[in-house]
Amino acid sequence: MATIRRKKSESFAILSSPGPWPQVLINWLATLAVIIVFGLIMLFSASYTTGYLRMGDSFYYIKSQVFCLGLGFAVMLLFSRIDHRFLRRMVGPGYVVCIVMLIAVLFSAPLNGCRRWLRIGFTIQVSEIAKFEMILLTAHLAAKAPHLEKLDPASGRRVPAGQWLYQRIVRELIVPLLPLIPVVILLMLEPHMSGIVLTTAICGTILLLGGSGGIITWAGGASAVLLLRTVLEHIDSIPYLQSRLDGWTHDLSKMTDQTLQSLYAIGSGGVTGLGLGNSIEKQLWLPESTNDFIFSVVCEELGFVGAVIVILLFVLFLVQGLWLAFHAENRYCTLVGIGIMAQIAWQVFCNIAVVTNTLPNTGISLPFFSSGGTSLILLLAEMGVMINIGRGGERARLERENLRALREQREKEKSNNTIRLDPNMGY
Amino acid sequence: MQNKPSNDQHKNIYYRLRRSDPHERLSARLRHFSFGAAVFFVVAAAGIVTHSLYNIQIKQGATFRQYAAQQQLLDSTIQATRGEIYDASGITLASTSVVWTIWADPSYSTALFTSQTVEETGEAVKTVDETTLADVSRQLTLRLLSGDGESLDSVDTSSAEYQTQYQTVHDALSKNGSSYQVLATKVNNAVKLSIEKYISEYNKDHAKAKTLEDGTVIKKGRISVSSSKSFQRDYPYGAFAASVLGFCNGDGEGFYGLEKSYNDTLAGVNGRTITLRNAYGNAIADANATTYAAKDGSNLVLSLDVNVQEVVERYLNEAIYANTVENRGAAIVMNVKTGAILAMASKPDFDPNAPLDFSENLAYLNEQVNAEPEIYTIYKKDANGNYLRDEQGKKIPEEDPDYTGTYRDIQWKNKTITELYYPGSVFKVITAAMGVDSGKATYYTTFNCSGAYGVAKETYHCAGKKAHGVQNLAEALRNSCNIYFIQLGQRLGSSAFYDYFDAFGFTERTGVDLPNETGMMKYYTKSQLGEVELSSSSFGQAMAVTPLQVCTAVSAAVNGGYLVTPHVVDKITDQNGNVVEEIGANVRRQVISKSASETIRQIMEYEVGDGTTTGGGSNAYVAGYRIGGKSGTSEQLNMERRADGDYKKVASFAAVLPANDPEILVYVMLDDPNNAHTDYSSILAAPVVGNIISEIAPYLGIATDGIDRSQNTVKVPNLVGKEWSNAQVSLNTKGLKHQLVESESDQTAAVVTYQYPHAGATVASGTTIYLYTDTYSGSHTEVPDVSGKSADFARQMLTAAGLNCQVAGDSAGTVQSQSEAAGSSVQKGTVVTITCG
Repeated sequence: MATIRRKKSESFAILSSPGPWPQVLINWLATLAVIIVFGLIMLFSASYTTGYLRMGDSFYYIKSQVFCLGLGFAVMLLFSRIDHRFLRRMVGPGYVVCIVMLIAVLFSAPLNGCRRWLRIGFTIQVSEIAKFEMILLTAHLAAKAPHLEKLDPASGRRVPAGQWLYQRIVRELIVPLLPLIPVVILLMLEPHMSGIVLTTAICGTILLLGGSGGIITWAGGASAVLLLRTVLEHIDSIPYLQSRLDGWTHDLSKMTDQTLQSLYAIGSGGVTGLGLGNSIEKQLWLPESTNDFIFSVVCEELGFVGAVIVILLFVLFLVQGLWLAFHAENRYCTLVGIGIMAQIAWQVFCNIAVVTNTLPNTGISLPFFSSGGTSLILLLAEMGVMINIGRGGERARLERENLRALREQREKEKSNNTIRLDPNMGY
Repeated sequence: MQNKPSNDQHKNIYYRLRRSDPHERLSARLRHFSFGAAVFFVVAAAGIVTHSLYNIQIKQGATFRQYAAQQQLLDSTIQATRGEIYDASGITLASTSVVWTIWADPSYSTALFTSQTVEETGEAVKTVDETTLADVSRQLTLRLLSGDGESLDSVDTSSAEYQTQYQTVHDALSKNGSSYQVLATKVNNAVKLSIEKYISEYNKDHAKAKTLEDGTVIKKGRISVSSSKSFQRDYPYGAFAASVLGFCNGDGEGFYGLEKSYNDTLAGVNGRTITLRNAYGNAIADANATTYAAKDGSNLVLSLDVNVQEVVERYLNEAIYANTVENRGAAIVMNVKTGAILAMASKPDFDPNAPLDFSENLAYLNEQVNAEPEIYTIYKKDANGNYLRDEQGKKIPEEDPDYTGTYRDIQWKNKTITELYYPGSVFKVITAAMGVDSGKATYYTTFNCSGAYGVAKETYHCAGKKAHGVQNLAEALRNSCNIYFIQLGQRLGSSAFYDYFDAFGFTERTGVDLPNETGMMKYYTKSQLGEVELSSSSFGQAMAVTPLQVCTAVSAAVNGGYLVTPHVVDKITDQNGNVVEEIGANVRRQVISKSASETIRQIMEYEVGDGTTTGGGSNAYVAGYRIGGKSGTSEQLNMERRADGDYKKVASFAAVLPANDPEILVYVMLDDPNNAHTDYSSILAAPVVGNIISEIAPYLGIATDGIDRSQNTVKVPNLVGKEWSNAQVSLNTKGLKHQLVESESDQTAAVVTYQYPHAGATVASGTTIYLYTDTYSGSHTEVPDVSGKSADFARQMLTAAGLNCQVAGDSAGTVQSQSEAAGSSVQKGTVVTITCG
């Protein structure tokens, strides 16, 4: 099996303007802006009573959210100008740092029985950083995996089935997923089930949509969905999850209070809602109304109409984002883009599914809506990467077009040469 | 591009493995397929959650809304303010003030606890932070006890009160699992505000963990202390007319007295607010809140007069103390024509502000419980509440009985309506009325009293076994001759006697607007009324009645024959003072004729006399008024005998005035007096009535006898060494007024130590004699300058200064000179002669 020799790595500037702005990127950013503003308004609405009654300050949550948003914008700007090749080079060291942090967090003081937050002056939720790192790392490994390429049929060499399987399963799936295993184990120790589920789902989505494993990945994904019920029932043996799964029922009397209050809130909203700021459930009835269950408050205040608008905004945002990803300049960028969009998609889907009792209760926040500094800053960092990918893709497209135009012109010139001689050439 | 692969080349796909090219994109096919798939997934996921939302919000929305409303709606009561109780002149006897219950939510008071996680279970364990708890408890206790929430320094931290309160607060706050712990009740508004301020400042200071400049480390945490509103009933005069006013229980509902009988009137109607609440249970802003306003209670304006009540209670207390009255005393002042009660007292009574406290009355309560074992003995019971019995089937008394409940019941009782007693000789007024009205007797009807009188197997005597000889009705009443009235009773016969007895209201409740009037009566019916029973009944020793029944019956006997319903409440007014209801005279029936009533008035006046007589009711005489009355010393035949072997006695006296056309009745009864010298009511109860009349008759403006005594002179008797109330009686009968100079010491049953004017001085009738019980030299007062004033005005000025006034010359003119120089200091009671012209 022959492989093409690796090229010597090219040199580049770490910070640079990635390229021109494509129209889709601008539209996508507009959608993002609408979502962020919407999210801030809803967070303020959902949090001022809780802030007042629990913290003695109506602005307690919104203040820190706005601060983190400002910080996040700076981070977004920074990441949008970091060359993706630099990020790609950093995934290795980044992974080591992540693992160290995930180990360190196990020695922190627990909150509600979980050790998820690292305090270094401020608190960070390490799993959020790990998520970002795993997107980059998985995309890197999947993009780096050697792949089978059509050869000149004249050579007469076929790929044996065993080799094909080895390529598809080991090189394309297992190798990119190997670094995930320590992360999952460390997250289990926190424990942080939603973190595991999300990280795994994101990595899986990268591989699935990136074409790694091909048909095998699709088949695996399909069977995972079909077996979801059985898997959940087996997970029942883990005590930490047991209580949460026990509450996942349609029997209102056995439901956990959180889910029940969420359903009360959503149901109270009706078609048009109680009006912005008028939620009653947020008056401490609904636990985590500023965080994981903020969407219930959206439903209660803005009704079915408002909730669907939020969902449509996210759909628009995701489709535009995915378009950007698939129009990236190279494989790696596409996979990173897919990963970032997958993270948003999974979080939005799982969050709404949890608050509507479609999925069992896990602590997954709603991107750009839920309060939480680490999450918001990292999301905005990822959005910075998306901008970089979008602009890079546009630059690459323009380069390709220029190249093609040049080629066409050359060919045209070539054919011109053969057909018609320029009388001025002086032959 | 020029060498397009042919179809058969497609069938044989060849691969080679190569390293990825960092510049390479995904293949176009994969790009299109994956993008399509991704968009499909996104839209499908959106579809799934939208479907869920549709189910919850639109299909089942109503159900969830309803469940949510059930927990979110707060249905709170708006407490109606309880009406007030005023006396006849508008003085407040009972009022309601807002007080606060201070409570804490320790489960939410993070500052008081340190939270630690147990490694094995992962559960958080809270331990009390003793330093913070002690500091917070101290601050709260200081404020609770400061009275005004500000003077924290004046609180004595070493007092038992402080220790108790501190312990209460400390214990309540340390219960970290609880979310409701009461720290104090009945806290006034100033203290409540002070506590709220302290808590909010504390929480502000501890909102963030920080280190102060002096190195003090401030921990992050908060304390949750809240207050809730409640009402407190205040009785500004304390143990005053207590059994009439009654009191409210802990829930603010009338439990005894007027508070109970007029509870519906006083309570008003509570309002309601239905509003949204948060999970703490507090109301939140709600534009759709429904409020039904509370209707505040109405006020009661009593016919009871604080001034009259004060006089009555003062003299009653004195008599109870002086005569060692074991089983309380009672007194009533009542308008005989309307039934309006001006004063009603049962003494000793209780403080309605603290009705459960019986410590002041322990002595008589014990006596009472021991005196009537058949009523009060507490017997052993098994777990099911059945009595345990010994071999003979008798109930076994508790060895160490807890009489707390019994004691409270007894001290709360309004003696005038709840307890039956034998009225004794006072009842002879009624027997006389029966005889006169039935035509069986007149003023002049005579019977002979030989000292003993046999009826069936019984032989009756008069008190002291006296033989009164032949007497008419008036003489018999003054002699209180049992034998005369036995014969009068026999002449009436059982049937007529019972009919009158019934007509006078003794077989039914008086209908007074007070609760707990006894419905149990002890009397013989027509058929049960045999010879002996009739004989005993005719002088009041067989049928038991309540004091108020006696009052209404005597009133009927003297007011022209009308039996009226007594009442304490005169009118009911709303919050703005408008009269809602007026309770006027309610005449139940005419019992005897006007002319018969006239006769009764005559014989009763004969009993009291005109100050020249002695014996009978003469001690109740107050010069200047026409007073009728009857004393009664009855024997409580049904009770355990007292230490000297004699029956327990009840000394009572009923007086009416003016005797020619009575307006008021003054009734006093002393149950079980133990005076070393006498049991006679004419010596025990009559003076009390006389003293009461001497003060209330002028105050109420009762018509005088019309005799001009202004030119009469009286020789002042020696009063030093006499008990002051008796001293006053001798002044009452002589036509002199009395003024007991207030002293620091307890004046109850005290002996007069000094008087001015002195004994032997000749003074004008109506002169006030100043009496002292704690000084041997009297006190001085400055003579005001009255020159140029009118005689009347000068008299008022001198009286106000504690001096007597004698007018010489033309009283229509102005004062020309005064016998004591203005500005000079003279004994109180000095007679100042002013010459007018």
